[in-house]
Amino acid sequence: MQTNRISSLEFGNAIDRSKPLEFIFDGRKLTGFAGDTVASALLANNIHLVGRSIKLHRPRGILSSGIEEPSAIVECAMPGDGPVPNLKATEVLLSEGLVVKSQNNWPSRKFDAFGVLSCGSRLLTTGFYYKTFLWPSWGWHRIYEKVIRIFAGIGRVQINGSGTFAETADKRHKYCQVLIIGSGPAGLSAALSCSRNGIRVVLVEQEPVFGGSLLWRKGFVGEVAGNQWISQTVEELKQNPNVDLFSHTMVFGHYDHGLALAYQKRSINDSDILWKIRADRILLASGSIERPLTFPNNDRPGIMLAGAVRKYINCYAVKPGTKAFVAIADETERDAAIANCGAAGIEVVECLKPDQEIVNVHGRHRVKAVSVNKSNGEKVRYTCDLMCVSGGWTPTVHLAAHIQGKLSVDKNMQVPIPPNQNGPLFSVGASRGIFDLNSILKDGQYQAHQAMSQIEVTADFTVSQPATVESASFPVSIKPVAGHNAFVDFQNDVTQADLTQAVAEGYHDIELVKRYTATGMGTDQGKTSWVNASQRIAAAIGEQPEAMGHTTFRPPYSPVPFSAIAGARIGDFMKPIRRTPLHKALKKLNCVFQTSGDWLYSRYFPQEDETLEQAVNREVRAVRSSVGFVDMSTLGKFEIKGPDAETFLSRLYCSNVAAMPIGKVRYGLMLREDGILFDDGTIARMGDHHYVVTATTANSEAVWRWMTRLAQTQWSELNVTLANVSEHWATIAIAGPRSRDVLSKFNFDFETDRREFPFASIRVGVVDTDVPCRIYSISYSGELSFEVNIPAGYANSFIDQLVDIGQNYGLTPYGLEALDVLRIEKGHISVGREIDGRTTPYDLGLEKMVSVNKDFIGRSLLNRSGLKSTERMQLVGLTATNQHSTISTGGVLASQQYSKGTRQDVIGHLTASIYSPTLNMWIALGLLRNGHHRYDDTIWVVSPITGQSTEVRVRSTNFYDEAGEQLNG
Amino acid sequence: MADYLVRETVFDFIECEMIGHGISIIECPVFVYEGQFRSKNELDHTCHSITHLDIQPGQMAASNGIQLLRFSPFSVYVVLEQQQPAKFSSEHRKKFFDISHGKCMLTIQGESILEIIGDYCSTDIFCNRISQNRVVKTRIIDYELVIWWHSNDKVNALVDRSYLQSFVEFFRSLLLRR
Repeated sequence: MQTNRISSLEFGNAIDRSKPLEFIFDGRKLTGFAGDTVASALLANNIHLVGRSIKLHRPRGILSSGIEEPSAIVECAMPGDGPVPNLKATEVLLSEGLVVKSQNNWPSRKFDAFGVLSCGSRLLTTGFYYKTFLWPSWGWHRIYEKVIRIFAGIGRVQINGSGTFAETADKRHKYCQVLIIGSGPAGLSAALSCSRNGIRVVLVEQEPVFGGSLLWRKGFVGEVAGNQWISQTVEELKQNPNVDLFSHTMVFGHYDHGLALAYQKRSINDSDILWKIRADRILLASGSIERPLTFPNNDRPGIMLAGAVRKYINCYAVKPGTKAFVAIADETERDAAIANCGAAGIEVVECLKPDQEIVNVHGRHRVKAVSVNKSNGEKVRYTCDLMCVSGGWTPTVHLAAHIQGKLSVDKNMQVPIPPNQNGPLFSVGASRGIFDLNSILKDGQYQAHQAMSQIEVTADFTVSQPATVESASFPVSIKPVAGHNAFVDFQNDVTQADLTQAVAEGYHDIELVKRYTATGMGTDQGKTSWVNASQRIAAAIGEQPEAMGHTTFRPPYSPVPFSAIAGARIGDFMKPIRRTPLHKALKKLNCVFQTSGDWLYSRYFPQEDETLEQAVNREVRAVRSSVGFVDMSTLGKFEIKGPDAETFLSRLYCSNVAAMPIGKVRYGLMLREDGILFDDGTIARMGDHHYVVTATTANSEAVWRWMTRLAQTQWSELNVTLANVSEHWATIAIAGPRSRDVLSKFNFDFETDRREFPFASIRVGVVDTDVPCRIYSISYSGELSFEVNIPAGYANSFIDQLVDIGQNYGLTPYGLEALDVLRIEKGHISVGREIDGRTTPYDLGLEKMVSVNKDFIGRSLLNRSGLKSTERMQLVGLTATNQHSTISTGGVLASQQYSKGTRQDVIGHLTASIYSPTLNMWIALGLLRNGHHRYDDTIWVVSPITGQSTEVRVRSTNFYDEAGEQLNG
Repeated sequence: MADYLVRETVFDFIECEMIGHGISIIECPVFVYEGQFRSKNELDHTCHSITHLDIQPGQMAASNGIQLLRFSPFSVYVVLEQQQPAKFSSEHRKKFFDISHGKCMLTIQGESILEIIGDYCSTDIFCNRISQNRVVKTRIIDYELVIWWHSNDKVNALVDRSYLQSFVEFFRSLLLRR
């Protein structure tokens, strides 16, 4: 029964009385209306006790009406969804069937067994945990930690809780010229100015409805009532296609270059959205936050911020009490609050005068009376069930501080204010200390024009800047109070006495006091506490409050769910997957794919019940004995054209490029500027001034960027054009003794016999009369091999033909695993293994590839003596002295076998080790100190993880066909 | 075995139903050429000779089945819906690199599809310059692509072939999520 709901329709502009909603609070069924928050609905049902505080388990109620709420922290669950803990009751919109639970109490919030802790508040002062739990030393792990964990924190996370919204949260971009944060009178005024000048505007409001404080202050804009002005303004903005309006959207972070992140809560059937908003200029019209007063037992349920009381009355048609004691610093605010209470039927029993002091509040689960000391020493007690308190308003400057760092503290208002308004962020209205409505409206216009002038939009400059209106500050009680129950930070149970104690213990810097006392470290992030805290600290130190500064404001401005930051659960779509042009055809051949970088690469092709090892061995043997084919489409392919193409490549590669005949292919090594090997590939000459080079899959993008950078910047004098044709061409390597036989069956327009098409050459022509093709006679496997390049769209069709033709020759598809075995047997190098960012061509035995007759990138530093030292790690082949021994993958090379507890003399490491089905034994490649001069030595491959040691003999890296006879077919 | 090699698209037709709005994604076979030039004047002249239109960086121009997309002073994409439009002669082709099989063109159609795409673009496609030129090289989340449009309900996109399937599946899931 909503006993506190005001029936008059004059109140309740935020609720829809035609839509009653049922919800449950601590097992009790209650009702509210659409538009209610959980807090307003609870107050409407005359429920003030909402939970217990974190440390002392003191009864707590609802202090405010917005995100600054420190006390009304609850757990909420939608039907069928998992509960979400630690939500502010003032932020959660009521919905049908919502289940709300109070937190941090047992067995109930009214009869909390842990409430006895509040009796020990003198012992549980700030920092008590640094001074206790020290003895005995074993006590921490066995007793104290376990007990503390029972008491620690508020709310419980359900590990297995479901969350469909969490799985669908979206992230989107929005761009605008002016972002306006806040839709109070300042924000709406600014938005009108901008929209009428054709500016692209995004207006963001953290509440579900637009209007800000004007919704409950009920002022007049000219002759028009506040609510009506809001409606008219919002309607005009909605009609403008250049304006985007977002309600229930909180900007929680302000970053470099005009980036703001905002979290939008949507309806129950829609996922929430994280907006990344880029704006040329930002207008911060975020208003201000009301400060509570500090006095003994100021945390009792029923003590509320005056502005919040007015908001509950006007927006939600809720009167939070029947007899109110008013203690408000500002005279105008006080008069307005009294009038509002009167209109709602709340009797104002007394107003606190500036020379009076509140010395106690009576009542435990709800305020029942207030004791006041008058200036003549008289002590008076007032019966009430509601207290409206206000120590003034603190501009909401957090988002400004995210970028601008520390802000200055105004001497008169003793609150932080934004610095001089030079943009790109402009504070507007109450967020820079302007509180008069007319001044706020003018300031909205003025700051909007400042922003527009900076983005060079014609604007009317007749609007003058209003002056900052000072808000009278009520002298906060600074006298030491008995009972240690004058709370400054409600959420973390920090009292005035705690702050005084911290100062006495030597903590004078506001950042240190914050961390020592935990002031401002709760989910409210100190929005209602830190100004009072800094004043208390200043008084204790004997400083002026403005000298204290403020703590560092960091994103998020208010807590944001991890689901919003993580975004939707999208499974395999988390990152792009690249497929080769042969993917469809390979899938038909029962390929097992693996991810290799972004690529989905063919790993192996199992038959029947083959294991990986069996399949790989079969594939390798097929290539060595007959013919196989593998997908090489991921290689980078770049065309270089122009009169200076040869010069360009000659500078780029350390290999000799000069005087290459047309139709020939060479192996090329590319170095970094420091002489270290960067990439390897092939260079093919297609025409007089036309070359095609290849790069490894791993370095394809890097090599392309490098080449284009050189062509455009350092070598811009060269007449050369480049094109990346990697995606255009599919590449299929057909390898094996019978590969030429297979190739000859295709309908090429050129000869493929050995004489016409020798090793290390390229043929360019067409297949099937009109399909262009390029075929390289090169080999990575060590067998006779042809790399067929065909436009990607024909790839699958080509594979179909190839498989058909290959049936007569035992053609076997093979994948990355078999390819790796083949290249290791041949001693060919690979990026990431032998080319590891530390090796030079000399280290890998490729000194013959380094031209001595020309200059190239990396030449001068390659000739450093250190890079030619014999003490360097050099590539060698390794075979086990016992043919049946295995060589551990990832092992290190040592002079002695492994002995636990004994320091190993590591002299190198393996880069690759495999079982060779061709040689029927384990072989390996490794980098060994002075390896080129250690052939026939025996050393050990050691695995400290498994403890295995294998004696190996050092040899050359070419294990198979050392004479290279297989290459020519 | 097929007698001749056959050119395939990655997809034939994908239809994606969004609540209240039908959105279709179609892969259209096109021929794409990339021109790299060492002087802006030379490229200006070449573009003009192909389309009789002036096209500056960041702009597109279309004429007789030829679409030019220019993003830099020195390079341009030529997109042809048929292989032998008269205006793109063999003389012109010599200056270009054929990348037809490396790029795939999608036509994405649906109500307000441009606004939906704009929500996920890392570029402000509604800023003055781009909304006038109606072409941009951008990213949708992690996918690089070129998009151009003639209305808010129909957008063309050029995507690298290797990313195409992943992009379409990702985009479809994104639309379904909305």
